[in-house]
Amino acid sequence: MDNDELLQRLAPAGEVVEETSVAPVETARYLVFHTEGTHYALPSEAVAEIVIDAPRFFVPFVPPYIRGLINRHGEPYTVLDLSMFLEQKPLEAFTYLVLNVPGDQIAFLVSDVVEIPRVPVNEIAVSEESDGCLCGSFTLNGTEVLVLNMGTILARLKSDAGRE
Amino acid sequence: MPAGSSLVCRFLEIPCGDCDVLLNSAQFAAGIVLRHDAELEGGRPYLNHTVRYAADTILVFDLRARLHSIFAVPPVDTASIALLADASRFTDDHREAFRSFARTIPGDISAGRLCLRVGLGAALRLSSIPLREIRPVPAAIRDRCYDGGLLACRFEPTGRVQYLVDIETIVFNTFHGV
Repeated sequence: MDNDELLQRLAPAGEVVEETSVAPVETARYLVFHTEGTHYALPSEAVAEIVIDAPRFFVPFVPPYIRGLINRHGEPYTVLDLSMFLEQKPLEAFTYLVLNVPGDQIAFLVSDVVEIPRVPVNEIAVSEESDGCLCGSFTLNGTEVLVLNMGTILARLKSDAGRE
Repeated sequence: MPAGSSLVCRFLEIPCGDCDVLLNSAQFAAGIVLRHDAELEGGRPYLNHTVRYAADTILVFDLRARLHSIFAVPPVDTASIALLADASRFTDDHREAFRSFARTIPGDISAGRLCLRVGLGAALRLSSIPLREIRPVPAAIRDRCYDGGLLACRFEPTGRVQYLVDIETIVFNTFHGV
């Protein structure tokens, strides 16, 4: 019995069986981390390295959310405390996300990395948050994850930490 | 330049809490021991003593105290070694600001030199450091750091950080209340 015969037998008389195709769902990979319980995500390609327990060095003259410098292979990276930056709460942690930022060396201070999931793009709710540091959110294992807008964060950093 | 070679500069290393401060040795002419510095009435923060040196009365800037303030290190009292900076090497604006300030002080204050109190002799070290080991501050914070007098940094093999500072910027920012 070939396929056509089988389909004719399965289909009730007079009913036409149509072939249905499911469009592939577009996904994007995110790096999900948290700062004292608030979950955030960055596109995975924005993160070059996850560093745990690197010593941090005080640097003067900068806004309070700049928590110092870390040494990555002899190069200094500015440490931005996301919790302080977004919620004015300093974070006591020593995990860093070293970012891929052309022309600069920046790392985010975070509590811990959660996972690196593939997220269906259509499940990301677009944010209309006023200051623009968040661009969306999605749910991961029942937890809301806020998607960071790197462009706005870096622009604000440049504005805050630039020449007075 | 042949491969592997590198320019080397001399720096004075001053321990400052968890970091070292590097001063470019080209920015000072000599080191002296401060024994009989006198308090200066009408001075400014960090600039409130004078010392007699080679028949001149020279203003003393407490660079050590200023560095401790910048790097959030508790102040210390003892600092007997000082550097002599030649005012002719200052930028035009700074030389003029220094000359104007010296004129406001009663007595014959030399506008040709500035004395910088830096610390205890045993804690200071003069080192030759290849410039390739010194890194600019990351771009996002570079302007603020430059404006404050912090130019660059270096990570020692021991893991300690060293900050290269510009003496002139640090001294003359205090003239403007920075």
